[in-house]
Amino acid sequence: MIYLFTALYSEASVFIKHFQLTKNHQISTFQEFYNEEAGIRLTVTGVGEIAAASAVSSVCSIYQTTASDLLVNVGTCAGTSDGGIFLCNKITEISTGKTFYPDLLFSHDFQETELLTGMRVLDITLRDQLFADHLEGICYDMEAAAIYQAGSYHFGPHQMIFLKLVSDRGNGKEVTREQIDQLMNMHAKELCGFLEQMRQFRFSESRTELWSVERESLYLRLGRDLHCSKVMSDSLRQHLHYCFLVGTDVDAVLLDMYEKGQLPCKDKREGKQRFEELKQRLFE
Amino acid sequence: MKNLNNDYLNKFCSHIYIERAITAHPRTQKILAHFPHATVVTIDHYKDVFCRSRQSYPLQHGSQNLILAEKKGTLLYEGAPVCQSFGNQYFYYTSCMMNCIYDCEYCYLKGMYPSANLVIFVNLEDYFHEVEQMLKQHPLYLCVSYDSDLLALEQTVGYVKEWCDFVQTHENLKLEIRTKCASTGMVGQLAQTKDVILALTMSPQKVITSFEHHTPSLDARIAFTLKLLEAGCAVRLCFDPMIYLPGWETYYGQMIDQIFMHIDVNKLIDVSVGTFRISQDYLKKMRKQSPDCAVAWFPFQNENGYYHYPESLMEQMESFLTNRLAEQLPKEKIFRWTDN
Repeated sequence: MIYLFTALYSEASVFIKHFQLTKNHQISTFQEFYNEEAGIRLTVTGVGEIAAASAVSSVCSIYQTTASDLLVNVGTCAGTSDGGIFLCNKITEISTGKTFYPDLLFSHDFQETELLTGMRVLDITLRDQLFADHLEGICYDMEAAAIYQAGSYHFGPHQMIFLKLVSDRGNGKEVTREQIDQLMNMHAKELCGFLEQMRQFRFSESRTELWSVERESLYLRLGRDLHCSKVMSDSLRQHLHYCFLVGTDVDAVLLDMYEKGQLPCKDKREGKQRFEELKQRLFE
Repeated sequence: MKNLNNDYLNKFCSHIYIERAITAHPRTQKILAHFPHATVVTIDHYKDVFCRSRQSYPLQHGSQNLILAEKKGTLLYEGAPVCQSFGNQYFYYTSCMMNCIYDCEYCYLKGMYPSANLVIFVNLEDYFHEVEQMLKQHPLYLCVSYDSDLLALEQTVGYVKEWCDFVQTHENLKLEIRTKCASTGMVGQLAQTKDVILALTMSPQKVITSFEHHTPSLDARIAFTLKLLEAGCAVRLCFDPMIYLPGWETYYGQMIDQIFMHIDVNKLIDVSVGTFRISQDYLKKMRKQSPDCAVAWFPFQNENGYYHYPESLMEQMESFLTNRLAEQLPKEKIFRWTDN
C-alpha cells in the first residue's frame, strides 16, 4: 500500500482523479481518500509540522503499516530553482537543526534537492537568511521533516519518498489555489507515473509459502508425536525451517520413520532419542 | 524473466555522501573523479546516514551508495576471538573501509552494520600514524581487509597499494589483505614481500554460485592465485568459512582436487580452515533482514554467545578438509580455527 500525504486538497486532487480514490467518510479528523485495489491511501494533512505529524501518526497507527508499504509526501514548496518536480535527498528541520536522509534507492527522472522545513510561511527576510548559503538550489516547505520523523516510527528510510514542486520564490506573495491546481495538473502525468511504478515494486520477498497450513500442522503433529518440550519444539521448528528453505525431502524421512514404527513415540525419553535420529537423517 | 525490482533501483554509487570537513581532501576528490555522474550530498557525520534506524540491508545492497568520511577515535582493534591469529602474538585489525561490494549471504557484515552503504575513511595517514605508535611498543600483525574487500575496490580507492608502500618502509609489520577478488591485471601493483600476505578465500563453485553473489568463480580465484605466486607474492588460501550444504563433502572434495591440479600448494605461505561461526547478535539481525537465507537459518549450536555448526558436523567438515590439505601440505602450514 502507498500512503500518500499532501498538505492541501488542491495538491491531492490529481491523485484522487487519476487513481479514482473514494472519500473515507468514517474518518473525520483528516480528509482521507482511498482505493484498495489500486493500493493507495491518501490523506490531506493540513498545513504545518504538527498537523502533518499528527496525520502520519494517526494513519500509520490505524492501518498498521508494514515493511511492504511506502510513505510518499507530495506537495508544493518555495524554492530557488525554477519549476519541475524535485526529489528530496536531504531534509533539515529549521527549528531543531536536525537533518534527515531518505534513502535514494529508486531510479527516477526528477531533479534532486535539499529541503528545509520551517514552522512559518516563508517571507523575504527569512528567505534571504535561509537561502543565502545554498547557491545550488534549495526548497522550503512546512511539513516534510515532521512527516519523516513521524513516519520513521513506522517506516525505514527506504520506504519514504518526498516529492516537491516549486510554486514560488518565497517572496511572501500568496500562492492561490488555482495556481497550485495548475502546477499539479501540469506534472500529474509524471507524478502518477512514478506512483504507478512504485506500486509494482516489491519491498520484501514473501516467505508465506514456506510455512503453509500443511507444514504448520505437520510441525504440530510431529511435536506431539515426539513429546516435545518447549525447547525441543523450538529446535524442531528451526530444523524444519532450514529444511524447507533448502528443499530437503522432509516428508520422505518422516514417512519412513512412521512406517518403521519409530513415530509416534510413547514417551518423552523416546521422543528425545527419536528427535536426535530425525535431525541426523535430515542432514545426511 | 527480467527482474522488475532491479530495473527500479539506482545504479551502484548513484549517490555519494561526503562529510563536510573532508570535501576538499585529495582522496575525496580522487574517488569522486571515478563517479562523474553521481549526485553528491553533503553531510555532517557519516553516522547521520550510516546509522539511521530501520534500514534495509538487502535493498540497499542492490543499490549501494558511497559515504566518504573521516574516522576518529580508535583506529586499530585487537583481533576478535572468531578470527585466526596464525600464531601471531600481536594480532590486530583495522577498518579503513566498511562494507563490501560483494554480496555473500553468510557475511557477518550483514549482521554487524545497520547499512549496506560503503564507507571509505579518507584519513589513511591517521591509520598509519597509529600503526607507527604501536610499532614502537611491539611487532604487529595487522589485518586490513576484514570489514570490506579492499582489493575489490582497488581501482577506485587504491588503498592496497598505499598499505603495501607503507609496509615496505616499516619493520616488524606484517599485513594480511583478505579478498575474494581475482583481478589478474592488478598483480603487478601488489607488493612482492613476505610481509604482505594476500589471503584469498576459496570456496567450492557450488557455494560461490549459491551464496557468494557477484564474486569471481573458483577458476578465476585459482588463476589469480597462480599469477600472484608467479609474481612472488606471499599467498594464503583461506578455506574459511566452510559452508554446510547437502553434499558438502563432494563439493569441497572437488574444490581441493581442482586446487591441487593447478597450484603447487607448497608455494603458499599457509592455509586456514574453519567452518562458519558468528556472534549471536549478528545472526539475529541477519535472520531478521533475510528471512529466506538458508545459510543464516541453519539450526546452529550456541556456545558462549557464538553460533556454530553442531560439534560433530563442525569436526567432520574441518577434519575432512584438513586431511585433504595434509595430503600435500605439512601440518604446520595448516591453521585450523579450533586450534587457536
